Amino acid sequence: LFWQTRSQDMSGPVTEDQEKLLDEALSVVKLQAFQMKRCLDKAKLMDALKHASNMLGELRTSLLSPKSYYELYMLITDEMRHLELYLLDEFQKGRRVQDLYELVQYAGNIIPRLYLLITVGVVYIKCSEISRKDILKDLVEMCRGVQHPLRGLFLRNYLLQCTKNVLPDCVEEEQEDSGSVSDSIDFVLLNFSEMNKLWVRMQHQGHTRERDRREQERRELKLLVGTNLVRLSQLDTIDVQRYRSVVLPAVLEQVVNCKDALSQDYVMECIIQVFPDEYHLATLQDFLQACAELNPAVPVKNILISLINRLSAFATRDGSNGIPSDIPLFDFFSEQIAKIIENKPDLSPEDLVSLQAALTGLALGVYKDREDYVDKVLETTNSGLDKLGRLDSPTKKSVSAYLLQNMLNNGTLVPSSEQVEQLLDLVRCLVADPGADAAAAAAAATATNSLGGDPGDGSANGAGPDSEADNEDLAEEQSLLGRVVHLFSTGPDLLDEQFGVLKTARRILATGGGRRVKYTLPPVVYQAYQLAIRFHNRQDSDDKWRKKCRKIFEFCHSTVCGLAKCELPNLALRLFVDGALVVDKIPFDQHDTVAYEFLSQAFSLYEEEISDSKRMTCFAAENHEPLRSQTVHAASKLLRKPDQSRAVAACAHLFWSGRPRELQGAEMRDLKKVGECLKRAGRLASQCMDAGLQAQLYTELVNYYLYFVLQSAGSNLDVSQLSSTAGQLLAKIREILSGLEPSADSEHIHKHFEATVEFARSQSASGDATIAGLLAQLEL
Amino acid sequence: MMNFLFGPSADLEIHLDGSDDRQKGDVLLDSGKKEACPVYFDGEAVSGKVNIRLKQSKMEHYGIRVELLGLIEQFSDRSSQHEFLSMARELARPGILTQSCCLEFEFVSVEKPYESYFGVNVKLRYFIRVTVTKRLNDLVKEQDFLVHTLAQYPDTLGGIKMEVGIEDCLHIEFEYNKSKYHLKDAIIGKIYFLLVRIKVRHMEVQILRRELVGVGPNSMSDCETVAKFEIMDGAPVKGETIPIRLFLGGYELTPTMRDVNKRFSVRYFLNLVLIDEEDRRYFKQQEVTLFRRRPNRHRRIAQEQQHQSQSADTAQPVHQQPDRSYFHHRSAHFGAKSPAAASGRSAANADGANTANNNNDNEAAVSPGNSDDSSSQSGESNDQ
Repeated sequence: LFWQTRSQDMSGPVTEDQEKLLDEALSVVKLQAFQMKRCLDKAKLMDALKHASNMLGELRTSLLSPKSYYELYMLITDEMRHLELYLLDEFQKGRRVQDLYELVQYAGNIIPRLYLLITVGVVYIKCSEISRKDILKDLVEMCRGVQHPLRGLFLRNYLLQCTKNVLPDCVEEEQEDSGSVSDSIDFVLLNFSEMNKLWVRMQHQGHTRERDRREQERRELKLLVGTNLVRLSQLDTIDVQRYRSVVLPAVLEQVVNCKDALSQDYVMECIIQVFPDEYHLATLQDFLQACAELNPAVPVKNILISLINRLSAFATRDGSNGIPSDIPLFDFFSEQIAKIIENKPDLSPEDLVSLQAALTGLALGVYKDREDYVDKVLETTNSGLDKLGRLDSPTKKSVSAYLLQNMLNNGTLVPSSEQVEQLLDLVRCLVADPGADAAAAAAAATATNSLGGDPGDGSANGAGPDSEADNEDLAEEQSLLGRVVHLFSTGPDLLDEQFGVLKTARRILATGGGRRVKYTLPPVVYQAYQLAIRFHNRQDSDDKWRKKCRKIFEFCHSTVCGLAKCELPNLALRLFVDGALVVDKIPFDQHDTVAYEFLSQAFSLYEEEISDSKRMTCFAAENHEPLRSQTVHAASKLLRKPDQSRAVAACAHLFWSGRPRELQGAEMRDLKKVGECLKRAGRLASQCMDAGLQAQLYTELVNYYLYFVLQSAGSNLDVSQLSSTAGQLLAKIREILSGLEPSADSEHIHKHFEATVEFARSQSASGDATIAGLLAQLEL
Repeated sequence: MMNFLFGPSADLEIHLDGSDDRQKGDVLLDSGKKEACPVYFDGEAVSGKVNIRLKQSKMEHYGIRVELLGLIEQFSDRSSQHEFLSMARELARPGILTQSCCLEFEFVSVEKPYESYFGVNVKLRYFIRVTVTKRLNDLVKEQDFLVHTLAQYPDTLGGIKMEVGIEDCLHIEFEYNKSKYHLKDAIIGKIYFLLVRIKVRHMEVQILRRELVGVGPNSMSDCETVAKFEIMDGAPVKGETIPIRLFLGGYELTPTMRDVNKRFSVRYFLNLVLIDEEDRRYFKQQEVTLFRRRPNRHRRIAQEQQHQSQSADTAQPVHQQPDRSYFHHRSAHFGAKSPAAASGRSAANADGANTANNNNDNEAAVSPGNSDDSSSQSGESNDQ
């Protein structure tokens, strides 16, 4: 039963300028310190204690901010050294003051009393170790009386500072009376847990709107708490055994139970930093277990990453023996990280992924020869990211992208089909549209060869209001995915497995639809081409290489066909052509038929899809008659007359610079065919309705003629036919141009024509008789 | 007055035997000054000398008398001096002194039942008075001495443990290691916070001295805070334990006195005070008995006489759980009358009886079995 009264005096703390308050306090301290020292000089201990008590009384204030309080504390504790030194001196001279330890306890206020008690207690200890154990225990217990967080923290810090060099640091057998290291451990641990509690309590004081400021203030004070751990780490007698059985469990218990994120974050980090790596290795499981129990707000990843980095550095440091083989470091981490993920349903995906990334770093750094560890990481990440199903799609995507980026940065290789499957499953939000998942998967299952993408996909999506930004993002993500495909590598020797990997990748990536396969499948195809070349290079050791190459090209063929069906003719065309180039270099059985198939596919694509005649130049290097004629045929079947004309003209090159196998690399220079092509082009040009365009085409044709004429110079080829045709063309051009109304287009054509004529003139003036003769026929 | 006019015919001086060796204590004189006087214990003889130095050649007197007096004075009423002890010796028959002389006196085995006390409204003093009876104005000289009453309680008596609180606001459990402390003792205890919903700023233990003089409507009461001792700074949370250690030796304390000669009592209370941030004070008073412990020498003799096996010197602090039925009570509301005052009343009766019993044999020890004070307290508590 309490009686309650209200005192008349209602003077609460007045918020005043910190600086002024601090100055006032400091001047009181200086005055009292001065008087204390004067009394000590006169050996008036009682008076000196009174002044010391007055001085310490300034630490009772509630008005100062932690920063100002710290300043005050520093000055006062500095002055207290004088008292301590005086007492030490007196005691050592044998002038021991009776019952001083009791005497200082008469101080009415607890703050000065405890500071004095600590000071005197430490003097007692320094003079005689007999009662050391009891005094230490008494001091740390009595400090419980200060429950005010700020004042308590500083008081206990003073205790810690004063006892710095007097803590017993010997094993039990040696010293019984003066205490042993276990007394020191009890002492520091109790002080630590009390300080931590006070520190945590600071957070819950005052108004909620000042939360941030309080958090800031707490950060400024964290070192006070950490000093306890530093002190423990300085005790030499704490060996691994003791650390594991006594020290760490107590620290972890306090940290976990306090439930405060700031404290947990700091103390865990502190443990990692102050204790030796060997200790961490020995207690990894306990430490990680505790990590799993921390407040969800704690960035556990930072703690673990910090620990992993330290251990990695330790393992690779010069002179270290590495991680002892009996400590399955990687297993610990991977199990515990899995547990953490399990226990923290709201762990952010970013944290989850960066944890796994750190683990990957460990696997790569410490266990260079254990690639299966990387598999394990991916597996865990996979199961962890299953929970990402709940996430909105941008987050999912950014997490997946992060993961991929990380792989790229670390050059993490994905060495098996299973892993490819897992990885792609993990980032499936990038691989395919979420909605299209089921359908695409089903499609992929039924028809592996036909790429089940939705052809209308791209245009449908393009109709969205922010489609442009979407497309940009998509392009970025998909190129990332594409780059990762290059990491699907089983290493230099496992070529068959590599093919399996590519097949898996293709199967899954194909579900992405036209917008995605554009970015993701070409790397697969190129990887396959690469693989074929590698098989070829290894033909000595693998007698089945021909068959395998063929298989690969079949695979590529079907893939590219799939791409073609996704309305990506340009891409497919290029891939076919490049494929043909590769086939060309690898002399397996029927490689000519394969190449033919590739190119004919290219042509058919070209015929069906391509309207850009400029693509034609791609074929210039080909070496088969049917292809050439097919090309010309294709060119002439272009839809628009001008395109036809240009394409057919370009085909003339095929018959000039082609290098069929029969000629042993020499150019075929079939002037007759060239002439036919050009003539046909001229005919096509004449069918153009637009006069300006016609003039343009004619001008271009003249240029072709000039080219071939000049190329034939010095040979015994008869170019008169060409020159005469060119001459007729020039006349036609002049005629058209004269009737042309002036416009930007006609201006352009004029210029082009003039430049052509000028070129011809310059060639004839250069003195080559043949050319001059020829040019004369051009009726210049 | 007459002395002043004519001047005294002789100087009187009282010298108590062994007063140089004896322990001294302060006596508060009427003038307000303090004088160091020797300390006596119950049953001890008081002996000494009276020096009479004549200032004239001779002095005629009608007898010289020495008295040992124990007096209780109430300041409010000078007339009501009460002599509880009065012994007299004739030092000289009527006659004529022709020279200075020294007369010896001795009071053997003087029963000194009460402790000397100098309070706010009352004082209890012992003194030797020498009177030279003369025809006109007697020569009188007084010499104060102090009496310390000694007591001994076994340390195993048990402490005070109590749970108090305000419903849904504050529940604490406090514990003092003993209920009876000797004057150089230390109060060891702890406070355990079971529930804290108020913002405590600090907490202190006070030692209160309550002096009650007289009975009935004329009684006067005075309460004085002898010590204020801060034991906690800041607000604890649930589950905290705060230690208490309060050394008594440095304060001016007397033993607890109950119903001294039915005239006055001096009792001590430990007052646990919590002050919250709005300056509201919550307090709980708990009476403790203070006693003067027998000095080592005395104790040893006493032990030998009593053949007691247990020794107060080596006794350990008590961890024996007090009987919760009477020590432990819990009140869900505040504002009722002070239980301390109520229980104090009954305890005073009981202890008074004890003191009276034990005064006879010079030993104020209470054997563990003889605990009628606790049983009566118990009854009182249950009534509440």
